[in-house]
Amino acid sequence: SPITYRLYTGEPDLPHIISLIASELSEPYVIYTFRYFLTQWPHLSFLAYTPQSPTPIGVIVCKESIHESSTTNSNSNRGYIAMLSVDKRYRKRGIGYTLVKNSMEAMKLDGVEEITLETEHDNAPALSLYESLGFIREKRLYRFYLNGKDAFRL
Amino acid sequence: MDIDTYYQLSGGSDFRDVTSVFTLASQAMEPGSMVAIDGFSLHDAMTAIEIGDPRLDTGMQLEAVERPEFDPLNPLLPEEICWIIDRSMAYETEWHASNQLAHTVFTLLYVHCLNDVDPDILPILSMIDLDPSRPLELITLVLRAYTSGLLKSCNLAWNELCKGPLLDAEDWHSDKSEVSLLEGWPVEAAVARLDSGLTWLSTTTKVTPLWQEALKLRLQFRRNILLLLNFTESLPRDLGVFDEILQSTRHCLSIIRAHPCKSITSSSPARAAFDPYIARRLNTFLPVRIIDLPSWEHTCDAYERLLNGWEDIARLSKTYQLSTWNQVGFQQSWFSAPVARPAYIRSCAQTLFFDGMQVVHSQPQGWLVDRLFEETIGVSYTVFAQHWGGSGTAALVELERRVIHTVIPHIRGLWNNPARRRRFLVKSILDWHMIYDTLCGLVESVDTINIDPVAFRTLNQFPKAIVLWRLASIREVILSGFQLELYHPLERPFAYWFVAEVIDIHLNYLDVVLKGMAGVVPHNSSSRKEIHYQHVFLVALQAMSMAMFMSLIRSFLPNTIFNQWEQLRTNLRRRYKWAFNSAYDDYDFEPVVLEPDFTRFLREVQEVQGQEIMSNTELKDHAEKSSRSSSEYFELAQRLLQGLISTNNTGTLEGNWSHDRMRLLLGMSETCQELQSYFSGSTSDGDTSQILVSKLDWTRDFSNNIPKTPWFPSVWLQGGAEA
Repeated sequence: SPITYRLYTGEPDLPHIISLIASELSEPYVIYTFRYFLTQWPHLSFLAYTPQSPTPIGVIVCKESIHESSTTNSNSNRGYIAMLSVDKRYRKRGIGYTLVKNSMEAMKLDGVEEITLETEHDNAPALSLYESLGFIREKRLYRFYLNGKDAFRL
Repeated sequence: MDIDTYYQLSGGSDFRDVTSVFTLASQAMEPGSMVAIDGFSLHDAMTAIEIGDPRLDTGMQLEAVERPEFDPLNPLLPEEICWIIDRSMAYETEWHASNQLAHTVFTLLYVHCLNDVDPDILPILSMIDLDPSRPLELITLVLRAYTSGLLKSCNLAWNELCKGPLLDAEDWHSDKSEVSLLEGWPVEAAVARLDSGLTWLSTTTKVTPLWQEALKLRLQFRRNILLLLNFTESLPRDLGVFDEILQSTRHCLSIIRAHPCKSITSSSPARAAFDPYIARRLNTFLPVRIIDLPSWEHTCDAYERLLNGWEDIARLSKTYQLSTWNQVGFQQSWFSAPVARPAYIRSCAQTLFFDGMQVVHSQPQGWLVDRLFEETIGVSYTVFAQHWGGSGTAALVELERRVIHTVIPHIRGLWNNPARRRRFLVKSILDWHMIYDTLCGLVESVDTINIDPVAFRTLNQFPKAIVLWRLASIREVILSGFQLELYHPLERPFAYWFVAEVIDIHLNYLDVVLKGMAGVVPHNSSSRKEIHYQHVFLVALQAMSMAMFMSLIRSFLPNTIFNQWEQLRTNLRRRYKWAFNSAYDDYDFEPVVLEPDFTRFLREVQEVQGQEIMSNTELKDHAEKSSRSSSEYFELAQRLLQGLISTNNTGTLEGNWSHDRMRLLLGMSETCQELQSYFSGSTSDGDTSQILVSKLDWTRDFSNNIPKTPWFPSVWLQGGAEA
């Protein structure tokens, strides 16, 4: 059945987003973290729906900001993928890939020059997804997460 | 509200419901709008805590959890005491593995009620000590002594970690949640209490000999750990005593390891001694996290790593060779990365090298300047400085300052966790060039007419010394990418190719430095010995790297690199962004090695794929390099490595460090053989163009596979067994 995607539209989406993220990601986030991203960059966050479910089955939350480079003495507009989650029951259907593509296209329209994110060093599906989109593991962050795991900054 | 709740409520009881105030104010807002302070940042958002959120509000407990009641004076069997001690040891190693005290050591409830088991304030023991198989002294003397020793041990480690440069919340966690680690209590008092416990165990008839010995061993182990922690600060004083305690601790550990305490019944009251959710009742802001206790083997392994670390620290405390510190600093993480060695040991190494005032506990900072040049090129810095009036003169003060402010962070940085260490080395590449630029400028300013040629040649050695240190850092940056699992498969051939290029230049500089030593530096000097070792080792490493470059290129489908060059080039510019740093434009002298030559890389890829015969004269310089097959490169490397192995040549390193170097040489030699066999394997029709690279294991998962080398993949045979 077809998956549809739409932008985050407002507060009524928030409880479903929180539920999706909390159920799939290890790192706990308070509601203010969600509001930080969604209030300021709603146009970068997308939800995925299927006719089988009244609530979204996938979500991506992003931001963009000016970043100062330490090696080129110049500033660049940098996008950041904060959270990506797809309901377990609907994985391996390209939903995560499409959500990321949607956000990347939206960020490109804003003139974003680079996009970064962090993911657990052993999150093979996420690493595979992002690497298929051209991301590289720029650095490793020791014990980045509350559960003690390292992260890759992509 | 009941009386207990009343007294337990923090903030008192004068709360008033102000929900209506917020409800009224929010009526002026649209749904989805947010009022935030100026500059509301992600950090602000993430550090907020939603009261009542069980994931983050540590005081929130959704379900009633049945916990056995804990009574510190509940009599216990000797084996139950032993079980508690063993479990607390596991938790201690988990604190050292960068977890919170509140999630580890503080889960032992005796930590919070030591006064309740103080025999000096208890009623006459005979009135409450009613079970002969569970003498209360096991708690009041043995367990109390052990727990006091444990807390004091944590206190000493905490003090070291606090004063060192390792990062709180990354390498370790300092939060004590307002629980005492017996900070003001002397170590001697803790030792005395342990001695009292040991004395009672030795003389009592209330405990069977088997458990007497088991408990004595554990108290002795704790006593030794405490003394090691205490003596570390005063090294190298009392080095003999330190070594004795270290050996005694190893002995204790080996017996404890061989005789773990058996598990206790599920109904044992000893189980109440631990509360993994104790953080809910402590003053801490981090969420509760239940630590999976490691197995007994892993716990003992963790202590062994601490003991090995102490052995290194003891050796380092009497090491006054800067180059040894540098080599040990590099190699101590090669076999463990991406996992870091215990933070406490790393912190000790860092503060031992420089404590904020002196280097290696006794040398002034200026000592580093002389050691750097003396050890690298065999010539004292005074030989250089005399041309400008001597060390510390106006012409040289900036140079000397830069050397000190580069060397100290460089050496200390080698003991950072592997991920941060790499980032630090990247930053240092420019710092080394700054020194090189300054030195070149000074040498250039010398009046060449009135200077002896040998003296001038010697002066020119000094910038080259810096080049050697910088190139070693570049090499480590590139190679550590493999250890940290950073590289995409398409990046790997480039990494090997680039490191081979860097090593090529390094070897040229080693040759030039050796030539410059002629007639100046004795043949049997340690700097020559180390250069000779480095030369052979680097040729071997370069050969292996070239072999990997060629083999990996051949393993791709034809033109893969070219077809994906646009994306790959962008990635490589990002990966090696330090090489494209515009800051180099501010300096007068060209850096030795900077931007990788992508054009030459592609030409060599073409050559490897056999698509173009090289006729360009520019490449004749590389004729020797490009004419070898990958198999020949592996053979060359193996020959050179075996040469070092068979002559027991580990340069200037001695003792365990020499063993570590030998281990690396052996691992590289074996890896040469494996990879050579692997890449020369063919399909049934002899076609070697589709080598199954998927059988190479690049991961650094030490639970399944301890790699033989830090930088090259392991070979896994079909079925999963390592070659």
